[in-house]
Parts: sequence; C-alpha cells; structure tokens
Amino acid sequence: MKHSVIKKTQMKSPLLGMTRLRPKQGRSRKQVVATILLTSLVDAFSILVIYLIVNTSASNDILKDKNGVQLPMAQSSVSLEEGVVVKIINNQYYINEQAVNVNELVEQLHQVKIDYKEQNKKINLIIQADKSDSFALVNPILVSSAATGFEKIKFAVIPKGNTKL
Amino acid sequence: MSKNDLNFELNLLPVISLLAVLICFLLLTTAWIHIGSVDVAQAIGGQSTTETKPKPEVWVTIHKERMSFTLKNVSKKNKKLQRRKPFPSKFARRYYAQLKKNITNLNTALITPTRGTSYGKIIETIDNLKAEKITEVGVNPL
Repeated sequence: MKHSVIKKTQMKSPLLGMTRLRPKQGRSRKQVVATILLTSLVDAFSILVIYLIVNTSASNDILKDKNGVQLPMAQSSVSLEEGVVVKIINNQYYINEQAVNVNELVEQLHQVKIDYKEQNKKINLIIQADKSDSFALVNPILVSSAATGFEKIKFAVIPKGNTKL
Repeated sequence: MSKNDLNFELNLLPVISLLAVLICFLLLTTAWIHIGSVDVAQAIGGQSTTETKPKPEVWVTIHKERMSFTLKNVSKKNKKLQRRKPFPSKFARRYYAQLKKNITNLNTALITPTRGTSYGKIIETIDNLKAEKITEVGVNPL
C-alpha cells in the first residue's frame, strides 16, 4: 500500500478503514479523506461498452454509404438480411457498389447470382432507392431480377417511429 | 510486498481511461438509424393451375394521388367492395381494413404502379397492406 496511487493523492480507501487485517480507521485523523467509489464507475462503463457493442449490429453493414439517398419509411418492416444490393443514385444503377449500365443489369445480376450461389450466400435482392425516385427507375431492376430468377425482393426502408431495430 | 501489506488496491484509473476511450469510439461508430426492409414477391406468372381453390386477391392500381382496386376470386357479394373508380389514396388504409373484415382470407395483393408513381408511394402502399395483414404483396412491372 505504500506505493498506492490513492495513497499518493491523499485519498483514503473505505476498504482500508474497514479491513480486519490492518484497521486504520481513526488513526490518521489529520488526513484529508476523499473517497470515490471507482468500482461502480467501472461497472457502469462496462455495461455501457457491452450495450454499444451489441447495438453495433451487422445489419447496417449491408447498406453502407447512402450518398444522400433518402429511404422511404415503413411501419411493417423486418430486419435486413444479407443479399445483392442494387442501388439507384442519381439515375445510376449500382450492384454491390459497382456502377452498372441499365442494359447490363440482367447480365450483371446473373453473374452476381452465380457468385453468391458458389459462396453459399443468401440470394436476396435488396433494392435501395430514394423515396422520390419514380417507378420507371425501379422497374428495370424488377424486370432484371425476374429474368435472372431472384425469388426474394426486399425494398430497403427506415422503420417508422423507430431509430433502432 | 511485506507481511503487513496484505491489503492492496487495483489501480483502476487505466481501466477507466481505456473504457472511456472505448465508449467514445463506439459512440462515434455506432449507426443509430437502422435499416429495415419490406419484402415483396415478383408478380410475374399467376397462381398455379393445380391449386384447387383460387385465393382472393386485391389488385391495386396507383394513379398519382388516387388509387383503384379490383377484387379477384371473391364471391359476388364481396365483389361489390371493389372500387374501379379511383379514389384518394389517403382512404386506402381504411379500405384495406374494410376488405380484410369482409374477406378474412384475403392475403394477396398485386400493386400496379404507373411510370410516374414515386418509390415512396409504392412503399407506403405495401406498408398499408401489410399493416392490415395482407402479407403476400407483389409489384407488377411496367
């Protein structure tokens, strides 16, 4: 205890005062006693760290930067699963972050589907578009997905009245 | 450590510092807005001919701020509920509730948007249908 940090900073631990081995309560009356229970603080911090780690769910990694795309809101949404992400940003189509021409959508989706099958990944098609985009822009994705045989189509949304899933 | 120094304290200050740094890092990197999805089915191809009893369906056509509804595979009595003449979409949710009340086994809907229909409007329609337990929703391509 001679080299304790608390000892050096003129603080007295409540443990020292209560111990049966070397009771020191009442001996050093002149000492300034400032007790901070650090154990509870560490506990609180640990809980906060665990909460934040759990809260950093993997589902958000599926859709990375949204580039100003304002997703529509929906009440009856489900958590997002892994899949092929097709984005529309400024009238440009992207398949898994790779820019694709509208005429090449079918070909590219077909290729991605084969790759996903080989890697045993879930073959969902996630469509990410701005809520103000017209259906004429979304339509080529639907047609291409039908042509390539994507069975599950998911529209990315922000759950209504809920900032966390 | 001498015989008398049986009581010792753990230096918690580095632990607290480490946790504080970790908390700051996690607070900055955590995505607070989570993303969900609404599932739809492809509306290409109809019901299998091998199915004995056709399921009731509602076909929703979206015209800008109005909607029309056609009912398929429903009884003559329930057929009267269909609205071929477009009416304001703000009443759609109430209409779905009415449909579901009268046709309890109505679970399928087919949405037919026009070229100019916004993506947000389609999602809103899907959301309203799903909220009224019409879960099998399809979107008809142009």
